[in-house]
Amino acid sequence: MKTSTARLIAAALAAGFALAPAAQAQTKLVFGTVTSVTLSLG
Amino acid sequence: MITAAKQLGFFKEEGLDVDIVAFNGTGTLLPQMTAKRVHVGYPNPDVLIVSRQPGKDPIPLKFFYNATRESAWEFVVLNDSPIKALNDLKGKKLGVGALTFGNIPITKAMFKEIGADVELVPVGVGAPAFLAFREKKVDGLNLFDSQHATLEVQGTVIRRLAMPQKYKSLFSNGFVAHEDTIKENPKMLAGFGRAIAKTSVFCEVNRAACVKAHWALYPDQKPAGDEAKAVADGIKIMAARFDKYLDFDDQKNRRWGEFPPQAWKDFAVALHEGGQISTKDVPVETCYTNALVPEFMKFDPAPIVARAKAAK
Repeated sequence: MKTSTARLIAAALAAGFALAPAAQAQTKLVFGTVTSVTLSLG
Repeated sequence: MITAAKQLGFFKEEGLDVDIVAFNGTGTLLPQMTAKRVHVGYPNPDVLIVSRQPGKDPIPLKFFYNATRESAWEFVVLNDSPIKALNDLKGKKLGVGALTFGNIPITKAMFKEIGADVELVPVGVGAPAFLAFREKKVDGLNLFDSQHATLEVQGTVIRRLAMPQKYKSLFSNGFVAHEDTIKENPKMLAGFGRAIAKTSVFCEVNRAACVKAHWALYPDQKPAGDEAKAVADGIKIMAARFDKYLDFDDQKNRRWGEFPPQAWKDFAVALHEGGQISTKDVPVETCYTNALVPEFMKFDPAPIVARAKAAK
């Protein structure tokens, strides 16, 4: 990492910004209800 | 809880991207689950217990999260009906969602026990069921809690018929998965259950926000007109089911998703006494697992409560 980039990150952190986390892989899950989807599933 | 868990980001927090698919009753859902096309379902327990009788092919599914901790099923009549008790339904027509619905074995068991021959008529749920009921094409309805709450919110005055306590205290729909999924991917199911537990904490604090979360996911279901009334009605419908998620014997030590073993034994006895299974000694312990409960408990409720309080 270049020193200038490192300084920028340090400055951002000091200013209270969080680094964006790496995109998390989501597990696909199929959920089956026994009726149409209504507020009772809310 | 499902739609709220999705919309409020609790599934995402557990690394899950959940698709919600609707089926017409437990009888149509379970074949899709045994074929592993659906990972998690929300059926009644009756059919699974029936499949554990000696000589039957056991359905290779297990319940892993106790969601609806008391019976969701009710018997209702119009307020002006001469029917005052379940026994008065003898020789009458009773509207049920479908003959594939998971409550049918226990409904048959109940009527067999009281010696009442009742004609079960499939009427669906929602508008077609309500129309058949209001036009007196059926003498009563045997649907689940939130359906009857919806009827009331729409202005139909109904009476709930008393059920024998042993049936009333039976649990209803819970979360079920294939036995292979429980063995091979417990992390996914643990995350699913934890997301439901977190959503329950959130919705208990702010029910209106949960109703709005559902509408955000299904905007066509949001009633037109007065927003405050729509939210109040929505809370009533949601509460009809959600309160059963919170029905713990020990409220200070809620064990999210845990099944009391005796509840399964009671279920088998009720089905047996009602003539729906050949023996009460079915191996009900093979129908469920509490193994993931410690995983469901692994979260701090405090930030969820704070978030719920702040939600509009």
